[in-house]
Amino acid sequence: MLRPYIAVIQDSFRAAFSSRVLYIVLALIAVILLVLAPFHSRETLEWKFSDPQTDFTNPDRLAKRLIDDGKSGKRKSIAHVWNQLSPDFQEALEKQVSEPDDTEYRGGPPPGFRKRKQFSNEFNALMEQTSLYDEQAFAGKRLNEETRELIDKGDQRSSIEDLRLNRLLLSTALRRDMAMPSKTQLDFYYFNWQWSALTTTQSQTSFANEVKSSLPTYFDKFIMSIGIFIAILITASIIPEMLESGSLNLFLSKPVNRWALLLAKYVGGCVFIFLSASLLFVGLWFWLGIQLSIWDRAILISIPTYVLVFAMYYAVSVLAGIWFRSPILSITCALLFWAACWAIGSVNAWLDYSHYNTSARQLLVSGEDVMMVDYLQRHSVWDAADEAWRNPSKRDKDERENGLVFAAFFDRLDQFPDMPGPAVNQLDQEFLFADSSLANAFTKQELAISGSPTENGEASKDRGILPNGTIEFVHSQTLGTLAINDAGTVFRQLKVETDASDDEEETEAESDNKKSLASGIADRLSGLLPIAATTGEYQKISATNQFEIPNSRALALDPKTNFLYMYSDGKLNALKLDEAGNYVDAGAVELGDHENNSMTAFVNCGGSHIFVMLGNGQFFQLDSSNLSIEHSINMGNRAAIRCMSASPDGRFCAATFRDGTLWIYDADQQKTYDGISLLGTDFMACDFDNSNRLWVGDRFRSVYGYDLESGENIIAYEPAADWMTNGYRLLVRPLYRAFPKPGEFYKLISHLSTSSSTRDDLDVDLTQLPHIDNPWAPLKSGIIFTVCILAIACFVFQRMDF
Amino acid sequence: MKVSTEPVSAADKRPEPVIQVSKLSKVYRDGLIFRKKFTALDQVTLEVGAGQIFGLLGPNGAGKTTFLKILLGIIKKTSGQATLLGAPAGKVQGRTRVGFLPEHLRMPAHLTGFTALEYFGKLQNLPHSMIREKRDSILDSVGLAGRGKDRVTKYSKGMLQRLGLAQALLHDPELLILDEPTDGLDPGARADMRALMKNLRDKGVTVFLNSHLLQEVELVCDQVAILNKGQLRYCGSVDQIGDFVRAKTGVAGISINLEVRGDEASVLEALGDPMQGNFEIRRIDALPERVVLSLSFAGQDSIDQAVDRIRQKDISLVRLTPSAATLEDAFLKIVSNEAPISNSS
Repeated sequence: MLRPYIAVIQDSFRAAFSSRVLYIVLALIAVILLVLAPFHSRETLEWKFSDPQTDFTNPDRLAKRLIDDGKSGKRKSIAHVWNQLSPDFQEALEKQVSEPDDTEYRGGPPPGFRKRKQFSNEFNALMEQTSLYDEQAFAGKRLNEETRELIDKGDQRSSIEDLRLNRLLLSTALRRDMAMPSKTQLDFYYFNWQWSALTTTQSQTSFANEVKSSLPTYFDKFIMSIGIFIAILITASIIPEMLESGSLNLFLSKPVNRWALLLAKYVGGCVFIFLSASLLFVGLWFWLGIQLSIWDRAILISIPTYVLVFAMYYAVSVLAGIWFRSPILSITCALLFWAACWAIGSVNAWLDYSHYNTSARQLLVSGEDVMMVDYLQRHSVWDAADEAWRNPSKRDKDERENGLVFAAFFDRLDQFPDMPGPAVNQLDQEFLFADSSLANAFTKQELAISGSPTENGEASKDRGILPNGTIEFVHSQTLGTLAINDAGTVFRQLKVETDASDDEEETEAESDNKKSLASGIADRLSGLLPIAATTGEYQKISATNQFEIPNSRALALDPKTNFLYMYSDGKLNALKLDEAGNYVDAGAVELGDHENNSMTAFVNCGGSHIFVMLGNGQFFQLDSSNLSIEHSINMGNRAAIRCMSASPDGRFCAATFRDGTLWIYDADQQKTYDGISLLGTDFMACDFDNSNRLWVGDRFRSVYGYDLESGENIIAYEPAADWMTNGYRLLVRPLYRAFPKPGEFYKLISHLSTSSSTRDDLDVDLTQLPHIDNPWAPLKSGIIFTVCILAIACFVFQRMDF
Repeated sequence: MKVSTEPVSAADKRPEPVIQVSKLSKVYRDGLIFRKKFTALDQVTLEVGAGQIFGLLGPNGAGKTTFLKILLGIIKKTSGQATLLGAPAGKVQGRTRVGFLPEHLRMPAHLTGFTALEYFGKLQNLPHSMIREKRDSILDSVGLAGRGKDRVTKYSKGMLQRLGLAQALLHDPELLILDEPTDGLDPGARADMRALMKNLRDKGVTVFLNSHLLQEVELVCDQVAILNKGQLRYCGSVDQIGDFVRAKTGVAGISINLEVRGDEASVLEALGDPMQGNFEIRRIDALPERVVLSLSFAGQDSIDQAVDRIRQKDISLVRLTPSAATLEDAFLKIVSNEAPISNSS
């Protein structure tokens, strides 16, 4: 039954094998592989000084040390090296030290460059000519394990190991002036000619990882683009040739289904391209594997992906071929299709990027007042009267946004460090927010705080400058504003403004302040009047350098007990106030089965619970009274977390993820809460208000409030959309989703080539990985598009009179 | 005036026609918005019985190829009924038992004689082994023995037609449809093709021949149908075509070719008024001092009278040859007659 159609496919091959095209393609592939084949790498023990600029940081100091410590015999090891140096070089060094070259630089190679080069040449020659090891000379030196092993080998050392030992000894003797060499280096060769400019001190593994990470993109953008174009040219004439009347009538007179005949022709073209692509990609795979030791399955995955991308273009070409019966028009239509895909993809990417920048990174709710922080780290408050977001910043726009240049260096804005805050000052009914430029956020220097009254229309007020290095501030009704730096040091804002600097060193005046504060705190904690300082300098109230806080959301204040919880190096640490008003250790608990000591964490307090979610997708519910783990979950979707918040009563915890999903956790039931249907998609940020209502911000700056008990939406803040947003929401985005994305298959290749073990590895911090937005979308839309176009082509072919 | 809507039986002794067509029409539409209509077939009704060579004649653009394409399902009919070997036209079942040689045959350039047979044989759903078994003998039968391994690009037009015929015969079809099979062939190749058609008929294969070459049809066909401007003008045996023309035109049944010395005017004067003499006259050729005329008479008496009159005027008779009503005569008469003619056979 399938015999006729298999015959058509077979004939495609017969046609290919008898045409010059195949041989041209094969010859092209063979030439590419043959040109690449001699290029290879060798991992060798590093011994040579190959980069004088970095190998010798300060040649003058090195010369001085060789004379001061070597020539004088003050240090045996350096003296040993000095004695091995050639007399000429010794003389040159002495001259260099005794007569420093103070003359002005007048062209030619810079003096430093020349001196470094001399050292490099001399030491390289020295290492090749002699054995530097002398038991007596290095007797007092602390030798590393590798050096000791090489010494122990004695005569069994290979020549390269001799050189390596010399280099290690040299670096040991002069360790202050030259760094220890890396273990190995990678040299690149074309046949036997060394391409020294490419030599890298990376290990083979790290080089391979680097290549692997960028390979899918290069494959997609270069090899596949060119390959697809060639494939389209080769195959464009297949259908028009079949439709020439002298041969078509004969085909159609045979007892075969027309649509199946067309599909067989189509499949024949695809199989031919598949085999050609296999030849190229398998060849490249072997070359990279054998010659460069990079066995990357992304290359093999590229074969079916390439064929699928080709199949999309070829379907368009086939449809055009049936319609116009002209190879030129088939190629033109395929190119127009490519242009359309590119245009829609680009417009969507641009609009997506601009809407992403202005979407909610964080939400902060007080009553029904909302502050939003967007991905450009700008703060906005909702103006209910105008039904629009208002900028509460005290600073002018230019000053505020001059740090955007930093954002340009961060292709992924979500990787830009979070600005500290914001926080609610319940006493003064204001939002406290870091009112500085992104540059300040980046350097963590001179970050000013402003207070935006929740009452609309009132101007923001200055609320002081955060201590340098602050990564997060919180506000306590009793303690006022607390700033925490990335070493876990806690600072408290003093009520009285002083002229003292915010140096961490304790001064006498600060000490006095602290004493008065301590008694005050004791009073407050026993229920006396709160002193919520929101102006003035900050005072250190904890030990320094106790933790390494990975990110600003990895700490939380329990508003009821004023306990601080900080996640650091796999542990959740609790800090409590002692009687002196200092935060002191109050226990810790190990969280998470991972070895990654810089794992991103989100910590929130709610009721009697502490909720922690890690960058690897692990979630924990803890009892705040004793830090015991009540429940833990490994998130199934394994998407990177964006934002997390807990309800004040501790019943719920909600988190948004980078794939745009929102997850609500019911702490009472200890399971996912699904008793609510949410408005919209693309959830960006969430927060709970004091009435335990959940507020969710979406990609288009809308914020919705939900009563989780009743499951109802109670409030919607929807700013009026401009034409661009409407165009994006209603036209570009739906079109983009429906349209094929042939230029985005690198996402799928990246996704598939990242081993599942890497993705399931709990040591991997998902928030640190580049986010691949829906890697299967190109495949799905590609298949749907191809099937639809082929169905149309079959229908037209079936119905057409020839 | 319409073509008869009654089925025309060209092989009335055969109960199951190989091709049966009733009121078949095809209207082509051209253009996207203001679509022009063109009627290629207009209510054509005919039947082709098994075991004969059937010729479909007509001038260029008469609708002959459209007719074939509808039978084979290459184009869709607009209205009417058509069956091929008992199956509705265009269905796979009918095409399984049909061999087809299209007009202006083109073979993919990468094929050889053998691979072409293999390819088209497989399209006909023949197993590979059977094709290999038969390919030598079939090439031999069409006069391509020993050329199976040659590329089709090295074939002459005649050889290509023969190869086309070979692929059409490979699966032993019950019906062989040939669309202008001798077009462009030399006389020897035409004779071979005719011999092959007769041979197949003798073996019981029905041959449907589409041609505008009258002599060819006259030489091999048992039955003939004439199409003009999409309308069927005649369907019947070749032998009876003279009677048909006579009956429809009322023109004499005995024709002679008369070559005389002298000019045409004097001969016409001698013969008198053709209407009164009950004959028809047509000049065939005029040579220096001689003229060749074709005369059609109702009977032998009229011929005798005409010869007497010419001799009375002292006009020398060079040559007098009888000529029956040829297919060409009939064809020209039929297609030159604007009004459709119902067949009477």
